Amino acid sequence: MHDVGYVPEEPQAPPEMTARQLASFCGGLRRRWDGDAFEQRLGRLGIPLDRRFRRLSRGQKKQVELALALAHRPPLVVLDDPTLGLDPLARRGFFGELMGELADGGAAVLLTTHDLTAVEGIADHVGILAAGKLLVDEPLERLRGRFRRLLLPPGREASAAALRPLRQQPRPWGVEVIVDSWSDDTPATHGDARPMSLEEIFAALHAEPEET
Amino acid sequence: MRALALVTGRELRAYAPAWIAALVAALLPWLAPLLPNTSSQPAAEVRLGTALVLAGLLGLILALFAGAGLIARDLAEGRMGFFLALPLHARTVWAARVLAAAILVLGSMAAIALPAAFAAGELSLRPDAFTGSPALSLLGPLFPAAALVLLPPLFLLLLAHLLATGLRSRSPWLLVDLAGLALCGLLVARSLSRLMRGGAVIEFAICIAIAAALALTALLSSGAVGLARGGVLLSRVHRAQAIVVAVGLLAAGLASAGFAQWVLAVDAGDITAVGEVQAAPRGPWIAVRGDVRHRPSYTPWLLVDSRNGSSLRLGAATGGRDVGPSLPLAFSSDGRRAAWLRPQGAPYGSPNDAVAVELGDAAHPSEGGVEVEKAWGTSLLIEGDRLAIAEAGRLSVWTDDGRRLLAAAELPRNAAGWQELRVLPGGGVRLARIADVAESVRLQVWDLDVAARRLLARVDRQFAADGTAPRAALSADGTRLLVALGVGGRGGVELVDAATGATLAGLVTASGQSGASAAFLPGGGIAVAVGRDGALTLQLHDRNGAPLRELPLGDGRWAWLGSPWSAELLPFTVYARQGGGGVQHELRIVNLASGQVRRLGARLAPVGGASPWWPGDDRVAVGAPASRLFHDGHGALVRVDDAGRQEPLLPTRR
Repeated sequence: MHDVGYVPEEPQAPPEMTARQLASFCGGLRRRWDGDAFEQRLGRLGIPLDRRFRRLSRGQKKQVELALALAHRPPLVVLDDPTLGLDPLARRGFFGELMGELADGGAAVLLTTHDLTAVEGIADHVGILAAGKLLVDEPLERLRGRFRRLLLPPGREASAAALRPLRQQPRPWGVEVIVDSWSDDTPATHGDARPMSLEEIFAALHAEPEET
Repeated sequence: MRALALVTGRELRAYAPAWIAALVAALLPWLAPLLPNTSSQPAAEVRLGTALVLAGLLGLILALFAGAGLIARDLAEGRMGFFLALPLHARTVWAARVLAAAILVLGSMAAIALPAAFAAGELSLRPDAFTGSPALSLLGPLFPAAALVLLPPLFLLLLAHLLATGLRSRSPWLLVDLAGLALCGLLVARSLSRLMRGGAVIEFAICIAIAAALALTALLSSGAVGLARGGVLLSRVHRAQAIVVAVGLLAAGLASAGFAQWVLAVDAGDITAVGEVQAAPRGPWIAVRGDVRHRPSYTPWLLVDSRNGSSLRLGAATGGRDVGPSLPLAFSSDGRRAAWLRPQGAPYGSPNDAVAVELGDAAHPSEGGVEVEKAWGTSLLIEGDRLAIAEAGRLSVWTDDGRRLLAAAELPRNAAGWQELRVLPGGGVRLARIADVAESVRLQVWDLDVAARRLLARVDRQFAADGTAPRAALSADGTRLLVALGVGGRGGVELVDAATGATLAGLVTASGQSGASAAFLPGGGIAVAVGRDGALTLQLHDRNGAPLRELPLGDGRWAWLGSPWSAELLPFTVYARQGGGGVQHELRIVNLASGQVRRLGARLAPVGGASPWWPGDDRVAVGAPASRLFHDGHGALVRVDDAGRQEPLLPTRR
């Protein structure tokens, strides 16, 4: 665990300790520790070092734990849904701070989150879990490249059958088909083929199978 | 170690409120002498008493509090991940938390108790009176006291942790915890009960130590294993922990049961040094007690067949070494049966059953038996179809299987120093005893007429008291008594009619003799070995005490008479004082017909027989195996032939 920094979903640090005491405790256990960076980070965010952990706001607790996770400059940072329960402002601050720090350090980040929109712009590689099963494990660009939403006029459903649709949904204007095997070579005979966001792909993978 | 120290330090700081409470409690004993109603007692005693009570109470509360919060609270509230995400082993987290909690509990107790104990002068270290090992004046021997102080809080702490984890996880594995605890408790309690019943006091303590060590190991390792296997998930932690605890506690229970079984599974081959021996008047059976291999305090009586070494363990009637009556067993005169006081429970205070034991190729105790409340002061007799039991305050006669009471009578409840039972020719039972009655030592004889169910008081006689209780022997037919007076028979020896208490003859007078040993001889005669001026003489008397002849036995201060090897050969051991103040002894044999004395030379002492301290009866048959048995002075029991050759019987291996 010397090379890993971990930020849990829920703040877990002992509530009776202050941020300074936490830094002292964790620093004693790490091979590397940049105490100045820890204090500077919390100072930038206006988080008091000598206030007990339990008296900090939820966002401040997350920031303290992030600071603890990064102060030993780990090559791998694991973030377990770190923005859960944060307001949009705190969420943006969290990722902004994180990205700035990681851009400097060059560390890999393993991030689990339900906030797909927030990570869409920063993730390189994506895994999607459902019921304990890894459904997707590939680079984000490739994932987005092979998913398309096809909007077909009435009577053209058969033309999409060769693409083995993942889902097919009748709409008032025709049929909506989602495929996960799209490529640049696919003939443009399938009407309107639209790229999908990560959140849409996630929803498509998790949706109950429907009649085609 | 650095990680352990860091986490322990953190945990200790987290207990800050508890430390403050302990410091406040530590001040209270010093205020206690100011309370009303305490002025009559010394202030140091009041302080110490208050401190000990407070230390115990706070120790209990803190052990429960700290134990419940060892890891269960953090797991339930989702905070354990913080520690497990750091470069820490699960075992380090666990060990640090246990260590910190133990320091809190014991440190708080010490902070309260030690200053008051020190002020009362109860902390001085001195050698223990019995063991010589370091001892605290307040608590006794240092190491047992330390274990007594340290272990209970530690156990309480870990049990509180176990219970808290189980309850918080709401897991069915809690039942495994409880089953493990119950089974372990049951097995350990049963093992301890068996050891206590056997009088194995030191083994009892060892059994506790084994069970405690294993249970402690299981409890201590369970948390580490639970955290390592279960991570931050309380239910998984508890499951892994419950398995370790159940297995560990089961191992502790089985180990204690196995240890008790091993301790108690003693046979004649385990005897390393023979202590006491009583041989059957006829036949090969002997009762033996002595040191037992690898058992420091378990010294049961064993009923041993001297032909082949097979044995029956009788157990300790009322305790281990040097405790209790000498032998919980009485042989019949034909040596084919014995009556045994079999303990029902622990040796101290629990009742016994008087049961018959058939002595054939093996010893077979019968089931059931007659309940006897106390072994102390109880004598048994089994002859023909009679089982007689003389308890303090009661004489009863039963059928030999103990199923039917034939007659019983109340006796005066006086402490008897010696008592014997005989079956009389008409089927009645005679009890002779020497007892303290109203500050005088009296010889008392009663006959219980079984047919008429009536007790007859025959004798109640006080002997001239010189501060020493007389010693007596009752002849095999119950008609006569030999009474030795004074220390070592130096007050003289009398032959007394057991039916009337009248002195039939004064066999030895008090004047100038250095020790007189008197014994009934098979056939009715009486032999008395008397030491005078460094020389020994054997006086032979007829059954009424009339002198027949005297035989010189050679030099010596006094002699221990054995049982006759034949109608003519009587063995005896001579005791002579050496120049340096020591005592040497030598086995000799006298031919009663020719008067010839042969020195067998060996340093051997007879089993049974008569010494100046105990007159001898004539129950051992002429030439019986018992007459050939001797102690060698080095813890061995040997059989001696006419030429003085020794055949070792016990121990079977050195």
